[in-house]
Amino acid sequence: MPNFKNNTITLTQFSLLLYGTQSGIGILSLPRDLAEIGDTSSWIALFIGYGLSVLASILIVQVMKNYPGDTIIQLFKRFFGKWLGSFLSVCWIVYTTFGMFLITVTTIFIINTWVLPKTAPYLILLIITIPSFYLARNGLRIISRFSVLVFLFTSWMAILFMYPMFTGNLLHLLPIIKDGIMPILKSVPNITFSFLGIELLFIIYPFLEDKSKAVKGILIANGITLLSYLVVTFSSFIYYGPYEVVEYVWPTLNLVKPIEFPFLERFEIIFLSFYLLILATTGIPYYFASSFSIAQLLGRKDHQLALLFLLPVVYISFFFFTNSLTNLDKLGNIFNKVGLGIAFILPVLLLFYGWVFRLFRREKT
Amino acid sequence: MRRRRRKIKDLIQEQTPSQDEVISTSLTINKEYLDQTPNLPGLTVREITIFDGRNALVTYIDNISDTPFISQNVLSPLLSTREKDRTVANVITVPKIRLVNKWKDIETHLLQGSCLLFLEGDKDALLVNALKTQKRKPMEPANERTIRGSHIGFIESLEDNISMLRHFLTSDQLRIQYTFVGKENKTKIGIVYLENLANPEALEELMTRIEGVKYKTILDSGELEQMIEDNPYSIFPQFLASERPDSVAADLLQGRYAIIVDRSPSVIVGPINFNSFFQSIDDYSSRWISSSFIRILRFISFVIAIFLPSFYIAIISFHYEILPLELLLSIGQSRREVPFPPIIEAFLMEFILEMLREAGLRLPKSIGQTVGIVGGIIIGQSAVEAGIVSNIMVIVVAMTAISSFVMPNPEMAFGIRFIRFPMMLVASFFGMVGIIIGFMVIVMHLVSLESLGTPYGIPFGPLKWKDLKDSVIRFPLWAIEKVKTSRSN
Repeated sequence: MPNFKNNTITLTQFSLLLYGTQSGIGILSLPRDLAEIGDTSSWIALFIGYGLSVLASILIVQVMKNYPGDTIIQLFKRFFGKWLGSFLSVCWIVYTTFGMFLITVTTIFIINTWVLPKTAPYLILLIITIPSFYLARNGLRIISRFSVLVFLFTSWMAILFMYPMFTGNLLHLLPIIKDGIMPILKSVPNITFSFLGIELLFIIYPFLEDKSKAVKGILIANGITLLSYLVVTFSSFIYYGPYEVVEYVWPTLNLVKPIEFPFLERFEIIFLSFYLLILATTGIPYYFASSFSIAQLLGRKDHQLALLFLLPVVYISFFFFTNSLTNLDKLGNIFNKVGLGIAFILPVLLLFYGWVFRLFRREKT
Repeated sequence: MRRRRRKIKDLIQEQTPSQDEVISTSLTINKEYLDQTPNLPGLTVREITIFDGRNALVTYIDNISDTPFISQNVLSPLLSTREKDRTVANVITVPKIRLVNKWKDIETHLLQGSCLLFLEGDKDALLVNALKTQKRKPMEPANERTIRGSHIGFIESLEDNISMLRHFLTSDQLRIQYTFVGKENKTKIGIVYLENLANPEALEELMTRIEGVKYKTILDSGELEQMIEDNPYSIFPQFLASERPDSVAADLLQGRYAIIVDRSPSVIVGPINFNSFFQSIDDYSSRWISSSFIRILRFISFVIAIFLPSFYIAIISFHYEILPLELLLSIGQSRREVPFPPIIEAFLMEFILEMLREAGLRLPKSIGQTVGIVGGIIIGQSAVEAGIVSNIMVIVVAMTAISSFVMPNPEMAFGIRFIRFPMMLVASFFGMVGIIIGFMVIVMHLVSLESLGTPYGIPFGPLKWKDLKDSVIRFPLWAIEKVKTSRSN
C-alpha cells in the first residue's frame, strides 16, 4: 500500500503539523466562547481542555501503535472487515472533507468581511484552492515542512497578541472562581472543540519517523496550542473585560485593531492576510487527510486524483451554501460534536475493541 | 538483386579501405587513404626519410594542430638524430606517445588535433597529442567580482579548470570522474568531489541523469544543467553556476559535486539549496558582523524585489485605508493626473525597466551610457511630467530594480525579477490576500523543490538548526560547523 518510507516526518514537523491543525478557526472566537459560560475564571478550563486533549491523543496513539504503518482506513478494514470497515472509512472521509469545507468557508467569510468586502466569494474560493491543491499534492512531508515554516513566519503574531495585555486593566481578571467550579466545568466542552485537530493523528501517525517520540510530540503540539490560547484569552480578557468580549464575533481579530504604526493605519488588514497562512496549515491537512483516505480506501498509491475529485465537491457545496454567520455557527456546531466523538470517544472504543480483537485472535490461532 | 548489390559493395570496398579496417604496412596505401578520405579537410601529409633510413608519413590537420610544436618535437628529432640504433619512440621528445592502428581511431584523433606518424613496415601508427588551444588568461569573472579573496576565474578548458580547483584543494580525498555527453559531438565533462564529504547517493543520481542525456551537442554547462535538473518547470535554478575556483572549492568542502564541462568557463555545482544563492564567497573572508549585515540586506532586498510593486498595487487599488492620511494625500496628489489603473502603470514601468536592463547588457560601454540617460531622464522624469506614471511608481520601480541587482547570483536574480509580474497580477485582483496567496505558493514551491534529491529549502524548509548558523546571519567562523548535505526530511 502507501509508501511511508520516503515520506516520514521528524518530531519537530510532527508536533508543528499537529499544532497547525489545532489552532486555526477555534482560536478566533475562543475568548467569547469562554466568557459566555465561564466568566472571568474560565481560562482555568483551558488547562482541563489541554489535559483531555492530550489524553485523547495518547489514546489514539495507543490504538495505532499496535499496527504501525496502518492508517485509520486500514485499521477499520482490519477490525471490521471489508463492508463495515469501508462504511466507517467513508464516514471518516466525509468528516475530514466536512472539516476542510468548514475551514475553507470560514476563511472566505473572514476575508470577505475584513479584507476584501467587494470581491465575490467564489473568486476567493477559487484562489485559495490553488495553493491548497498545490501543497496537498506533494504529500505529508512537504505539508509538514510548510507547517514548520509557517510557525516560524507567524510567531511574531504572538507578540502582537500580547500587546493589548499591557494597555488593559488587570482587574478584569478578578475575581477568580467566583461562582465555584461549575461554570468552569461547563465551559470545558466548548474548549475541547478548540483542541480538535488531534483526530488527524489517525492519518499522521504512520508517517512519524520515530514512533517512540509520538507522545512527546503530542505534548509539544498541545502545549503550544495551550500557550497560544492562554495568550489570546488573557489578552482579550484584560483588554476588553469579561463583559465586552461577548460583544464581538471574533474577539481575537479585534485584538489587533488598536495596534497602529506611524506609517500604517488599520494594521489588521495586513495581519489578517498573514493569518491566511495559519488557516492554510489548518485546512490543508484536512484536505490531505480526506483525499489520502479516499486513495487508500480505493487502494491507490497516488492521492492526486482524489484531490482533484474533492475540488468540485467543495465548489458545488459552496454554491448551495449561503455564507453567513449563523450558517457558519450551525456548521461549526455540527463539526464540533462529530469531531468530539471522533477524537475522544472513537479511540476509547477502538482501543477496547482492538484489545478484544487481539485476545480473540490469539485464542483462535 | 541482393547479390548484385553486394557485388557493388565489394567493389567499393576493394577500391578504398573502409573506416573499420586497420592501416596497412605500406606507406603508399596509407597515403592513398588519407588523400581520398572526405572526413579530414585541411590535412597535411608530409613524406620524409627519417634517421634510420626508413620512409615515414607525418600527418596532422593544419588548423587544429600546433605546427611549431610538431616541427620542434617530432620532425626535427626524426630528421637530425645521428645515432641509428635508437628506436623512433625514443627519439620523439614528447611525454606521451600512443599506438593506434584503426582508421576510425586515427580519424577521430586527427580531428582532435593529434599528429600521426606512419612508418614504413610498421603495423601501428604513432600518435602524438599536438592540440593547439586558444586559451585566455584566467581573469576575474565579470559578474562574480569580490572585494576580498582570490581574483582568478575559470577558463574554457576542462583540464585547466581542474588544475585551478586542485590549487585550492590539495586533499587526497579529491576525486575526479570523467564522462562524455552528447550523442553526436561528444563533450568531455569532469565531476569533481571530495570522497569523505560527498553523499554517494547524490553521485549515483547525478551519473544516471548525465548518462540519460539525449541531446546531440552540449556546448555549454548551462545546457547540461537544464538536462539534469530536478524540476525543469521551476523558475529557480537548481544548480549553482560559478566561474570562481575558490567558491567552487568552498562548495566542494561542503560535500557538493562540481560538474565541469569542457569548453565552458562556468562550473555547475549541486546539490544546492535556496540559501546558497544568498551567499557570496567573500562573506567568509570579511568580519562576521559586517557579512551578516550584508546577508540580511540581501534577504530584505529579495522581499522588496518580489513584493514591493505588488504591495503598491494592492494598497492603491484595495487597501488605501491602511495608509496614514498624509501619505495617502501625497500619493493621491501624484496619482491625480495618471489616467491608468495602478496595474497598467506598474506593468508599463517594470517592462521598461527590464528592457533598459536587457538593452544595456550587450551594448558597448560608450553606448551603454546613452541608454542610461535615455532611461533615467526621458522615461523617468518626462513620463512623470507628462502624467503617464506617478512619482511614487517611479520610486517603487527604482527600488525594485536596485534590490534585484543585490542578488549575488544572476540566475536567481532573474527568477526573482520574473516572479514579480504574476505577483502584480494577483495583487491587482485580490489585494493583500492575493499577495499572501502568491507568497504561499512561492514558499510551497521552494519547500517541495529538490536538487539532486536533496531538499532545496534547507535549512529553512526542512528546518536544520545547525545550518541556520550560516544562513540569514553568518555566525563567526568557529561557530559554523560545515556539515554534510544529505537527503533528509
